[in-house]
Amino acid sequence: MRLEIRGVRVAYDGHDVLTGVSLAVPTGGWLGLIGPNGSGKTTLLRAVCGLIRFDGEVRLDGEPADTSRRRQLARRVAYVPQRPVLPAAMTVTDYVLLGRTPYITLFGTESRHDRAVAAGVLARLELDELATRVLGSLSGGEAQRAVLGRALAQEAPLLLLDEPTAALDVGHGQHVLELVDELRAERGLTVVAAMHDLTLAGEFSDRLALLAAGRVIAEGTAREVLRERVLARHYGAELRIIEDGSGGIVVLPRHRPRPAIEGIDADAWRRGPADR
Amino acid sequence: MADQATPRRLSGRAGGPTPGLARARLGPWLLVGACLVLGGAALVSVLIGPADLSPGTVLSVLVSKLPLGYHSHVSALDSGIVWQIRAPRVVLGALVGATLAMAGASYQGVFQNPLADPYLLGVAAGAGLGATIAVAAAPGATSWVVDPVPLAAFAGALVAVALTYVLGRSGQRQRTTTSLILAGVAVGSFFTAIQTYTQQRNTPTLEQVYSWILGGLSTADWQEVGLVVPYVVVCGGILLACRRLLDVMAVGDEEADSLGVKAGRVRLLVVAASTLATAAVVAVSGLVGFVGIIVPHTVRLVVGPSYRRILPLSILGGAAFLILADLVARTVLSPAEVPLGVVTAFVGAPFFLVVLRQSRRAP
Repeated sequence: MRLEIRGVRVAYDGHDVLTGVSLAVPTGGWLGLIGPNGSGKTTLLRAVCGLIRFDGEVRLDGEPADTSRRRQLARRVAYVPQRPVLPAAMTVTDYVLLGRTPYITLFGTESRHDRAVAAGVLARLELDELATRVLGSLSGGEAQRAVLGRALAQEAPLLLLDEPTAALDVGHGQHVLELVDELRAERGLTVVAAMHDLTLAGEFSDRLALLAAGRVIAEGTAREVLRERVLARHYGAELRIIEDGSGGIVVLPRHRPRPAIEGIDADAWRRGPADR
Repeated sequence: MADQATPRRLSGRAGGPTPGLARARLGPWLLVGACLVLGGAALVSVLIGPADLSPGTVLSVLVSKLPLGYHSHVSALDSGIVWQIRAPRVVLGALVGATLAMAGASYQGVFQNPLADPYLLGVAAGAGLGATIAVAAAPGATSWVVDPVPLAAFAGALVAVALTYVLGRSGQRQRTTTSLILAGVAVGSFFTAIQTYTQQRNTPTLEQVYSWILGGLSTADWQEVGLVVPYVVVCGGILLACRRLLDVMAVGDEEADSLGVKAGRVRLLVVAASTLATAAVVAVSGLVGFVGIIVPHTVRLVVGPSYRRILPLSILGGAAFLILADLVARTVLSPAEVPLGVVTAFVGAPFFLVVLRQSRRAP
């Protein structure tokens, strides 16, 4: 699904959170949204899936998204929030089946087809072993897979992810992103993911958009967007950008050396026994 | 946002082609079992009473009311005791219990709050004020053709909840669950204050108001049953139809919205249906506490968090529970009656604590 965002503007309590954001992602593309806390990444994702009011236009495959028709929209856009609510006593299967809600009539219940789709998703995400476990008993990585499973059960061609790896260690985070990338290839999904980890964002996204203070500062490939001066200005951070020689870009925070403080012995400890 | 207090259940059953895919549905055996419990409770309750009637006599009267062409040879007096006194009381008890449990379960679902009960948004205070005003304004009204007390209670309950709903917006002009609950507390306190003031100004009617507030079914007759049935059936049908939506609401308003469900509208529908049914039963039974909290939680502890199981089983369980509670209320100090609300709490609280302690699930 082709996504076009045109001049989207969102205001909370009178001040602008997004000031005219325009972006486009072709079918099967992965756009990484980066930017400091409060830059509007989550707000943009929420606007695209119609959870908040906005001025401007969101087009899906060229047609304006009608946010008043929630069920229709939920069949086309799946949203994974940063901190999903996981009802502790609900089983993984029941949770994944919630993703079928847009296909179920208001007072109806799941059909055989809905259950087949959910079973397929469970198998694809290797969640069958966990199918009868309750959400409260899952580890962080397992829970993130369950949430992804619910989104996939929506069978929506556009997948919005808000910090999908925020709660995961480096291995589980990589596994989840690889999974999304595989599913994107298998199902032709279009992915928009807000990400904090700039190195991972550059690695997995086709293109990056840097947001700051509610506007797009830079948009392009990782090499074009991940630049020391731009990031330093908008993140208020000192960073080193290292190209690893095989096309990857590593973003490292820089620790400024400080003068030793008299009376504190930790400096010797930090240097290790070899230097003593 | 996993609940840390949840006991970890690591013995997940795996295997089979689509493991666990039928879990949220209500198995027929649970339903049949609950119906049997309800039938048994109703039968026991109709068999027992201060008039010393044999089981054969009671059954004979009941069978004669079925369209089978059978005529019982029981005296008109005994027949009247069974059919005009005991039977409507059992049926009304079932309706009241079913409604309070169903409304409690629904409120817990749409407010995501385990302490939610049918009186959360001011039904109790509104009904109490309505009843108090009616009693104070027309003390001898119980002998009127139409008793104004239930009507006033019904109206008061609806006014209180409507007021809560209108006022329950937060600063963002949104009705969040918290702002609704807080508005319910405020409206409830305000109505209770007026009710207490009215009562103090009319001390001769104190006892009548007090006995209404404590709740009971001693005035039950078929006319009251007929008044309540339409509300309970229609609202119960609406709430049962919402059972899957209540499961969706478990992920919160925003995620429910992103799944295509307008959470605010579902909440309004569920609150309206629950309130209407609760107001109707409160008007005839007074304020019976505890049923709306204890029955859904007991059911939840046994069958898990899905409202597709909780709602139907709460309806059946609430009916059975209240029938038995009313049996206790009218027999332990016979011929005097213990207030029904006292019995529900006295029997219900220990029972609930036992279930809570033995359960491995989080409520």
